[in-house]
Amino acid sequence: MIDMSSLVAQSAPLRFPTRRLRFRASSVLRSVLSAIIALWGVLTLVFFAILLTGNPATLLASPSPTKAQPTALTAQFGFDQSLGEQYVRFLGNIVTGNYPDSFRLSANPIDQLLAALPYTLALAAASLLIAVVLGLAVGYGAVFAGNRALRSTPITILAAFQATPVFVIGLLLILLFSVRLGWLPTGGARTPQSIILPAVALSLVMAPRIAQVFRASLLQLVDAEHVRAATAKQISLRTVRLRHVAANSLVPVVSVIGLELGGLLGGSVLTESLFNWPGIGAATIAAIDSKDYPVIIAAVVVIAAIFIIVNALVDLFTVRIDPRAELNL
Amino acid sequence: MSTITAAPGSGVSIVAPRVRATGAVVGAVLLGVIVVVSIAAPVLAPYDPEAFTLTAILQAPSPAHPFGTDEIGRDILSRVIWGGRPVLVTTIAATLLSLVIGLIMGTLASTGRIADTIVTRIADIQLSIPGLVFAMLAIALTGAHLGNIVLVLALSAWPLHFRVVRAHAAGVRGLPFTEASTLAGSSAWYRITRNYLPGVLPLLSVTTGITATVVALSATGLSYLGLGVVLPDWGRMIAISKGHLSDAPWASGFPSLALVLFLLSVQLVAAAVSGRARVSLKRSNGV
Repeated sequence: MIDMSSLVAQSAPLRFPTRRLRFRASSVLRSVLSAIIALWGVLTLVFFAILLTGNPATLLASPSPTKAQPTALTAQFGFDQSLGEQYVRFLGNIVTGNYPDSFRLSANPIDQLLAALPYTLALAAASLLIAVVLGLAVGYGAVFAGNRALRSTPITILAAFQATPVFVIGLLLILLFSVRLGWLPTGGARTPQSIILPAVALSLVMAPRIAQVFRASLLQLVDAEHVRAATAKQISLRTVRLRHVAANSLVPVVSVIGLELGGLLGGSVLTESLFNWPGIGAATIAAIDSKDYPVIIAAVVVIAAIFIIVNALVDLFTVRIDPRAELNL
Repeated sequence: MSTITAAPGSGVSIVAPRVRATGAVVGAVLLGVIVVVSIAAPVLAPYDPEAFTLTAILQAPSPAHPFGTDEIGRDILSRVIWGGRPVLVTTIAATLLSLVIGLIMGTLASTGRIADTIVTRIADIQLSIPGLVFAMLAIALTGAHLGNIVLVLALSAWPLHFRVVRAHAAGVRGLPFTEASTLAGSSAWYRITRNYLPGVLPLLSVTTGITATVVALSATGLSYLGLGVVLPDWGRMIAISKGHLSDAPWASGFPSLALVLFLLSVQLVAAAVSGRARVSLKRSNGV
């Protein structure tokens, strides 16, 4: 009879010094609470960043303001009042979506960014899908492929992409598939094929990490006792590898996806700018170029909110796919 | 002893790929060449990097201009030679600054429970902010000066060092030599500098390597987006010339190549350093 407790210990997931250790121990409520605290921290940083720039009313008023506009803004945000008062008003305005209008488009910046949101989400989803498929395939191959060259070459090539900025990868893809071969558009979002190049470029930022983590996690499990027991029971090699090794190695992959989300967001700004993909990143860059401060501030809030919410979801998901994650801490 | 290294060590071994000694040598040589070329740029560059000749725009590589010219006729070779300076300075300065902040915060956190809670919370908030995006927005709000860029990048990178220092201090606190030192009446400063810090240095060499890689990538991302210092700069050169991919691929190709070689060398050196640190840690722990 095999000692069950040793089996559990053997297959315990890899421990990362992640930012989510704290979250993972918690329930849904704590996850949400942490997200709110983080958002509040971001808003506070924005508040002080605006204060540092001098007079916020002139910053937020359009470049050629009417006399009344800075005064109206001062009233709205209470810039003439005490710091504490300003802070409370600022938070209130941000939370209720009460922003000054965008200089360029004379529209509420939040509406403008929410209109761009589907594009960013589509790009993120497509590239995440490619990255996960590619990363898992290469990581799996790096451990189980038939010969040595097949085990080491793909993961080494993928690792080289880690040192390559996404805009260089994107340029290479454009050069090859748009300029030389003429198969795909160089940018924009007019045809459904337009998403292919940006998604592939962005996926190559995350795929190497996934492959490396999956490989390391597989290697930790190939010799685990429950795997040897399964092999000894003459379960087919494929089943042992997929169900007993690979399936149990997925938890660190989910963790690393969570950790890399920030990189994905940053990468998507660069990618959107390179491929003229009309998402939040491109809108933000356009706002930065034209010093459209209301939009810049709204972008901070929207991007932080997306990032923090998705991160909280990843935490919950981690506990869901591996209940041990909650027990461990 | 394993308690000291368990948390940071296991994470690092997954992040950093195992690289052979050749990788380390290649990385170190490449990085050395890039640093020397950047320092010697005024001597090495055949032309003034900003001098433009409107009669010679987008010329293909030739003996006069080995890397060709860009859309206002500037010599690309000279600009590539000069273009490493901003990213080198930014990366080195921001990495060192993040190290200093991380060390101070980690030491601060080890002084008491309340300090620990506050600093850890701040680090958590910092970590929940995606680095490049917020560096970008912060610089958009405060202006693209070298000081701002370095500060913003360092602020997004310090929690990694902080966590390692904090975990180490927590591990060392209960060990006999620290207790002996406390009982002998040593000052807090003595304990920090003599008991905590020596053991954490190998770990910090690892986090420094990781930070340098991340910061270098972010810095090039910023300069690509036009949020870098206004100088010849690889990222900016790529952004400016990307529209001429079909008729003048050299204009963005050579700076891209220089940039990738630089980032690759940083990564190879970082991987080698972390491999080394792990070996020395294992040895000192008798594992």
